[in-house]
Amino acid sequence: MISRMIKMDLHSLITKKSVWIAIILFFVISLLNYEFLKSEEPIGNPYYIPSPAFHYFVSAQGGGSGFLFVFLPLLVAIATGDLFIRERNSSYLMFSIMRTDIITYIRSKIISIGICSALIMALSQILLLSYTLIVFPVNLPDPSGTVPYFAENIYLNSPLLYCLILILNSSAMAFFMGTLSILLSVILDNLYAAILAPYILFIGLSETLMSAPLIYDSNLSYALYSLSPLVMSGDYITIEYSWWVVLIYWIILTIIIALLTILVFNKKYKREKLI
Amino acid sequence: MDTNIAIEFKNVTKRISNNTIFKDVNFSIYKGETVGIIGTNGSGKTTILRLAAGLSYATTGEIYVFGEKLIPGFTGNLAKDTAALIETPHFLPYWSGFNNLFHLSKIKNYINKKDIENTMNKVGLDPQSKKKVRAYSLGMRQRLGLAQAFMEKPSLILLDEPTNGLDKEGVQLFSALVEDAKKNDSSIIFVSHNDNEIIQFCDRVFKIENHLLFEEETYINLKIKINKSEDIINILKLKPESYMDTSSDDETVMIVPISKNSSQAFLNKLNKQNIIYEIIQE
Repeated sequence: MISRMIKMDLHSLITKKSVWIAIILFFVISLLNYEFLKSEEPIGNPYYIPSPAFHYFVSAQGGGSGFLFVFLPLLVAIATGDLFIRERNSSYLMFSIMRTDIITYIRSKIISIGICSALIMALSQILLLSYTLIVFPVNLPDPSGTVPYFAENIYLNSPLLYCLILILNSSAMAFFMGTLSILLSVILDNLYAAILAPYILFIGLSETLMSAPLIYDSNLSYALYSLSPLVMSGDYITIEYSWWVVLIYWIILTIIIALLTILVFNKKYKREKLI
Repeated sequence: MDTNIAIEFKNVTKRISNNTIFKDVNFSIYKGETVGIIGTNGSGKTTILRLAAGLSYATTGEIYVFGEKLIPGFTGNLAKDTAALIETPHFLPYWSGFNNLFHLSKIKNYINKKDIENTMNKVGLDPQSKKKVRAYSLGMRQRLGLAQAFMEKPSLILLDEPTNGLDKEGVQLFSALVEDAKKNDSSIIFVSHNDNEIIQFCDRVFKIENHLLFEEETYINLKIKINKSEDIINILKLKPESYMDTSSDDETVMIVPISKNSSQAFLNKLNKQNIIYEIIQE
């Protein structure tokens, strides 16, 4: 059932214009970020050595001059945010449920949309990395230059592996956003509200947590800041986390949202507000 | 439990908030039977279909489909081998009709692309057309909905106003679909406001009135050819509502509207009066 649902949702993604719009936007924002990073390079310095490709790719993800991480959740919402709500607002949900059962349906749908969201993100990031490796010099990072705090050793010794870890983390974030979009599509009826609400919630919650240190100066406030979703989308490279922390963070959040989605789906179905 | 019963409602009551839709509904439908449900708007006809499909919950009572008790909800079970077309169907707009049906068929994986193409042809839709469903007319969507309900040859089919939006050709195609389903021993429950459809397709008819469900007399149009034109008067005496079949060139063909239950008694009377006749169509 899950594999068939994944095939169906992948087919949907290929035929939808919004997916291509999201991928194009991803590249536009990435290239703008690269131009911004280039503008910060001391080109006039006679001893200037161009930054390696890995520096550009990693810096664009977050921290300091990188701003791609702010838009990544929005791009996921545009690409896959309407997959469930279109089924719900049509007879397709009823036709699908009658061919299986409720729990199999919603479980398969969560996994399917999550995987599709993660795949779109991974594909976009891999294409960006490939572009970066072609356009910029491929050298090992300079330990005396700007080095991210996150999994620093891996960055210095295996920068390609490091980039793949970042791609894995952003794919996990995309899986989470896909699941969140299903939850909000169960709660909301309106198509456009269901597409945008996950991003608005994502940013709103992040801003709330990130402003904790401004309100109260304590270790807890800084912990809340560090654990906000927006920071964990890309800005975490400025924090001394081990390589697995961000991945586990998104897995735990995804499981919580998935369970909540199943509960809310069941409740709405029982109250006959879903079909 | 009788293994010939496709679906059985036992003392089913449905209330929504403080409104009673219907109470103590009891009926059974046998395998291969086609049953109609009629009633005024808001009487609960569609609710009965939703209950049978497991999409709605009975307030009290039990529903059995092919011997298995329906327990809706998360840890429950929905009606197996059942298809439904409830209200005007809306498909995924960015796909063609074929793709919509293809992905639905993949859930159970009983049928292949050829079966879907055959079903689409039977409802008068072109399976090769790339036209997206968003460009479909109401009639086309209804045909696609019918294809969705019939394509996997389910044992129980639930239809809500199935000919809604269909033109004359569409109704004829629907009629052929129903005949095919009957040959496959499928049971069909359908809700309609159209009395002619009810008479044409149904073996039995139920009516919902004043929150209760009861079985209605089923009327048929008995078409008989009589030998002597003098017997026309005798038949009119027995059944004043009879009339000549003006669509036939033969001036001795009569149509006798009669309830199914009393048709045999009527024919017996004809025999007693030595009226020679030939049944052309029931």
